[in-house]
Amino acid sequence: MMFNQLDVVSEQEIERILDTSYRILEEVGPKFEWDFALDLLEKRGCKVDRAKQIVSIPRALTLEAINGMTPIAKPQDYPKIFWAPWIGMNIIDFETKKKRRGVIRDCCNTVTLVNRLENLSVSSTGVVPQDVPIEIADIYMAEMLFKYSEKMFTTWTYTTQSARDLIEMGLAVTGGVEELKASKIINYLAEPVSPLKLAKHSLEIMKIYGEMDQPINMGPMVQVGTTGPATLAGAVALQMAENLAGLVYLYCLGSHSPMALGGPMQTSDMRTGRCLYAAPELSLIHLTLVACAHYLGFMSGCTSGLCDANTMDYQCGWERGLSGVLLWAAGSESLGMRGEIGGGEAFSHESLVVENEMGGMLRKVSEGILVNDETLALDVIERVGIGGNYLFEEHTARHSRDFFQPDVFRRDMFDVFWSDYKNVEERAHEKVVKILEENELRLQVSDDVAAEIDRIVRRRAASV
Amino acid sequence: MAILEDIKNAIIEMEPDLAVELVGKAMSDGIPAMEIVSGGLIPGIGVVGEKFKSFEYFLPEVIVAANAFKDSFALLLPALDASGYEPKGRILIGTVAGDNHDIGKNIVIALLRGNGYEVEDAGVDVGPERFVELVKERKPNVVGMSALLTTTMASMRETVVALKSAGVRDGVKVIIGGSCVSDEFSKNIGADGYAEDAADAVTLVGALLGK
Repeated sequence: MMFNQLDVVSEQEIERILDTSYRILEEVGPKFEWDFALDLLEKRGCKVDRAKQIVSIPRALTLEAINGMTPIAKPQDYPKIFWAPWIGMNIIDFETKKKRRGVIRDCCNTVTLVNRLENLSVSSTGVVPQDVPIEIADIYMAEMLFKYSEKMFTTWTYTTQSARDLIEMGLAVTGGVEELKASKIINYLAEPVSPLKLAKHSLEIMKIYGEMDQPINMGPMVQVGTTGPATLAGAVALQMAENLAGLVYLYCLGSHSPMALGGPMQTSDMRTGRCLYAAPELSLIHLTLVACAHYLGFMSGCTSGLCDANTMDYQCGWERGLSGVLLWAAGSESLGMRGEIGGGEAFSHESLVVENEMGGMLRKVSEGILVNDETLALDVIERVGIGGNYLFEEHTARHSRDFFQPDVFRRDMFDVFWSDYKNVEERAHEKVVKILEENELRLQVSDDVAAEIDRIVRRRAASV
Repeated sequence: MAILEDIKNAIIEMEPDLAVELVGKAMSDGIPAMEIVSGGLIPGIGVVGEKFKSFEYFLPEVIVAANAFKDSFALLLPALDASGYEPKGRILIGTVAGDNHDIGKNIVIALLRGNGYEVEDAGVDVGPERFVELVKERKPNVVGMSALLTTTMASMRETVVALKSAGVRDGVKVIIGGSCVSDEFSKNIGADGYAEDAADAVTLVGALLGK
């Protein structure tokens, strides 16, 4: 079994895009808004304009850094699924259909749901809780995930102090520095401010995590037509330049953090300037981005399978399907971020459940088609012969559970479906309620470790 | 007057160089600055605004038209100041302290200019003291604050407090925007309004100024 990955660019086109990225780094130069970073890069041969904080990174250094940093995972030959939930400010209330601000209870529910949703491989809190001091919401999110997530997780780190606090939590959970370094339990989405600015706090956090070998996902968010060129190839070149700026910085730091290059690009609605999450052009740029990252030997994390629709309707399904399947077929290792709705305006537990179902279908297709004596079934075909029935064959019984079975999607006959009609959101909601009723959050760490995490949170809360 | 119609069309057709050239000619022909503004520039940008609302014009096109308006207006400013001209509204907009994100702010600025407002861009990472300083200097009717990061939202509250302490809060309307803030947050911090997006900001400013 072998998947041929979907390609939209040739090798020559990838090289031309990357050449443009190298030229951007050298001729336009990213801005590093921290003197420490400027000193570091200058020592490694970069030309630095101190007044403007702009760094010209020589191509040779960029190429050296690409070879010198370790990818989180190497690109594989076949598509894989690597799903993580969205993290946003608002959640859709199922009863009122309105968006409201996220609270701690929503975070608990998200972690509970993800623990049980089999096709979500990475957890998050789904929302930023705003019934806690917003300045340290990231600490409460980390607390919940460290203590209760049964899966690896991703979360935000807002400040350098939060990075230090998360490291301290990680040390408590893993038992020590070498253990934490080996665990890679924390990951950081490093977001340049496009175009071409790397903010001080982000560089500081990258240094803190970089010194502890925690994975760093570079996550620029070039938005075509507003923070990046209105032409797709240029936007990707800029995105890769920002990715590589972060990679060079970490390389110069001597960090052993494994990295991913990618990031959630967006397009703009040219009518209004609004950031879009599901335009067809976005699939093209993410496909190209994945190709560029893979060409350099790095895995790529992109947001895909998102929607601009504000409800779980046909538009939502199609938007998710188009971009999700295309990116999966291109071999993108990470397909985030699940549960998003309304062009990033809110998070929905119901949508998370439906997307878990989508993930199940994609996983099934990812298995590929096995070709061997058992699956060719020539002996069965001979036995059943002309006009026979395979349903009675043991071979069929043996393989009857090979098939994907939906939980939320329905396959009823027409009249049966309408006699007991519930739309997909309502059916998903039933599953949300069921999972939350039947499952509680259980501590995934010892009582002592939980107590230490609590102490770190209290200390931080006292400082606000 | 034909030349005023030509100026209006240059704005509508998104031709900044032509608009500036025609304004210069109109001034040389002795047409009063106020008449050039009210007979050429304002009607032109008004048509652009209508075409934007109906999606006939896209945002980048509005920005070019707004630049045509801005550049032409700049040429007329000395004469307008001398005649006691008052703009439709003066808006001061900045991204708050600790935040470098400005694309949303810049789109709002473009649309406000595209609707005939005089807009001062305070830039990014603008602290409360700097907002106070600019309010005292420029005397805007509206102060707009933008924030993208949850960690910088607090600076919006601090700015409102600073404006009060400086005794200038009552003289301005304060509006906020950005992906992390909300109408509820706006009320909490004592702002006068929250704009969901750039178009909403223009509507909000108009409502607050009674335009």
